[in-house]
Amino acid sequence: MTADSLLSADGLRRRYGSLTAVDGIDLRVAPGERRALIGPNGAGKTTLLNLVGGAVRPDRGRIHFAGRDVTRLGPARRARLGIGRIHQRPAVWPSLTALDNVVVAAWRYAGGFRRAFTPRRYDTLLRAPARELLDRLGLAADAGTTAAHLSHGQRRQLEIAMALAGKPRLLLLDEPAAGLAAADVHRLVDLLARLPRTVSVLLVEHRLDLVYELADAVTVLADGRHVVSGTPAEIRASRAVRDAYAEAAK
Amino acid sequence: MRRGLPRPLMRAVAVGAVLAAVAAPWLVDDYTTALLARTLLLGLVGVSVALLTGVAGLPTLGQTAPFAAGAYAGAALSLHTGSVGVVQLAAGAAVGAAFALVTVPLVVYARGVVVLMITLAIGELAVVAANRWRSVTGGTDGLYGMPSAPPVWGLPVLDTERARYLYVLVVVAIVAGVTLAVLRTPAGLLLRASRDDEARMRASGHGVTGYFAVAYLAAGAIAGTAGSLLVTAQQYVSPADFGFEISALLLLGVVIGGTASIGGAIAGTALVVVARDWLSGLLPGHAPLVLGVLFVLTAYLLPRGVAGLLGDGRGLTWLAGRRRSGARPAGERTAVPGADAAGDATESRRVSA
Repeated sequence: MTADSLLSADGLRRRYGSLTAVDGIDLRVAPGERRALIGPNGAGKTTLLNLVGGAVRPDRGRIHFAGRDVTRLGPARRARLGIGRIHQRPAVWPSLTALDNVVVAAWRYAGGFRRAFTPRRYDTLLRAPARELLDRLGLAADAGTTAAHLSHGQRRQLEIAMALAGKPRLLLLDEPAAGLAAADVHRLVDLLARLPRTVSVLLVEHRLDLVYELADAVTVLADGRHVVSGTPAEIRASRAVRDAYAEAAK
Repeated sequence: MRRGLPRPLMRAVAVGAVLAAVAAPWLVDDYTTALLARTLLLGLVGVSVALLTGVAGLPTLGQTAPFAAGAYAGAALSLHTGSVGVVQLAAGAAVGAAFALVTVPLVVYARGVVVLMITLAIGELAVVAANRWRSVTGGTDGLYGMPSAPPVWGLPVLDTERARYLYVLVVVAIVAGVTLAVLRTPAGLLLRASRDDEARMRASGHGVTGYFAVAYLAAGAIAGTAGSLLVTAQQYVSPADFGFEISALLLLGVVIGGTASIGGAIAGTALVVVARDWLSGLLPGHAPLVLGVLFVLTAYLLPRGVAGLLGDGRGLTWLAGRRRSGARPAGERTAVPGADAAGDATESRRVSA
């Protein structure tokens, strides 16, 4: 089972003071799978993404990615192994132009100073692919705009372009639709649905309609624990899910 | 997206400043020429402060330490071998970088105000060392009697204030120009992106600590170069050249200059040093007070520095713009543009505490 998984996390636990944000969670993501994490606020979804991305270290448990134990690796090393990430509030470099944001995001994967040393190779290896990505995300007209001057929705699109620039094998998406206008959500869903199956996705999203549309598998968390996993259809019909949400609403 | 003066006007200002700098030694007396040379080389230390404070986002009060290391290296070399200017420059840069190499682990893991405190300690310790290590530094008496040297083999010896000033001007222009050119390559992009949002850099596979270390070493080499220029310019080195007052002046000058702007750093430092020298004649003993008032006024009136007026530069926005890597349980803090700088400032304060 572990051998088939791109990502496998076992017995992850993370405490913040007296709060146990993630309490003994196992998680598997198969190659090409789109798995969604849902659950009420405070269920530990974002912490789990941070544990997988490496921004936070687990107190207990192991994480394997592509057959390798990455538990002790920092976020930069994990990113280079192929874990891409977008954040709940879009994280971009505000003083750089949109194009430069994508260039810097692609830098390590294009060989950096070693390969993109001459202006011509810099253009062909970094700037041209970056323009293409911006085009795919509808930001072509804003390539020269400083990221600080982009709208929230545009920054979200830009961060997705940055994550894709790293040619990830696993993409961690933390509420990608939050704060987006309806048209942007539509574009986002379209883009995610058309991602090649060489990329696996681990998605945290509050909007269940998007989850059911995008995910092949859904894992429900509550209070830092695993509640149930299944296909979207199974989860939609599950009592445990409704109970978990009802419990949180009380 | 640029705000401020139009480009042709900026260019005119820059050209005017360069012409004035070249013509200065023919327009003023020898004493003033010597003061100007010293002001210029302090401007070069200011460049190293701007590189760390503005571009990399590591605010520093400690660049007087590699400055001192470079100065004592240049002085020792000059006293014992009577070497030419370029050799002294290379020695100053190497010793400044070596000093940075020794202190780099203290600096690159810290952020924000903590860096300010650590570099303050480094600068103060360097002054203590300069006072105590008499066999190398001459203690409080300092080192003097350095012979005038030619800038390179085959050129005449720099034996007038005018010649020494022009030598300092040329070296400062070259080092500042090279710094500017390097910052315009992707290296500058990586550094600015690391300053903007470290967590995002790591999520894109960048080893941010390594970038900061390189910037810190480069800043050490630049300050060390300025140190060996100090030996040439005033032919005397003592611990008084590297005190806290100088560190504070440099940071003030760089903030006035726009923090991330290399030209602004030189202009701002020059402005502050000239203001101090002029004020100390006008109001004996009260110059530090007036400089303090100047700092407060800058913080309120020109939050982006003088370079902000010219459309470039960050000024005090580094206080609000700095953020640290790592995530928190509920909702992760990530890049926020200037629009919500107020909330963000609270955030960075909490992070740095």
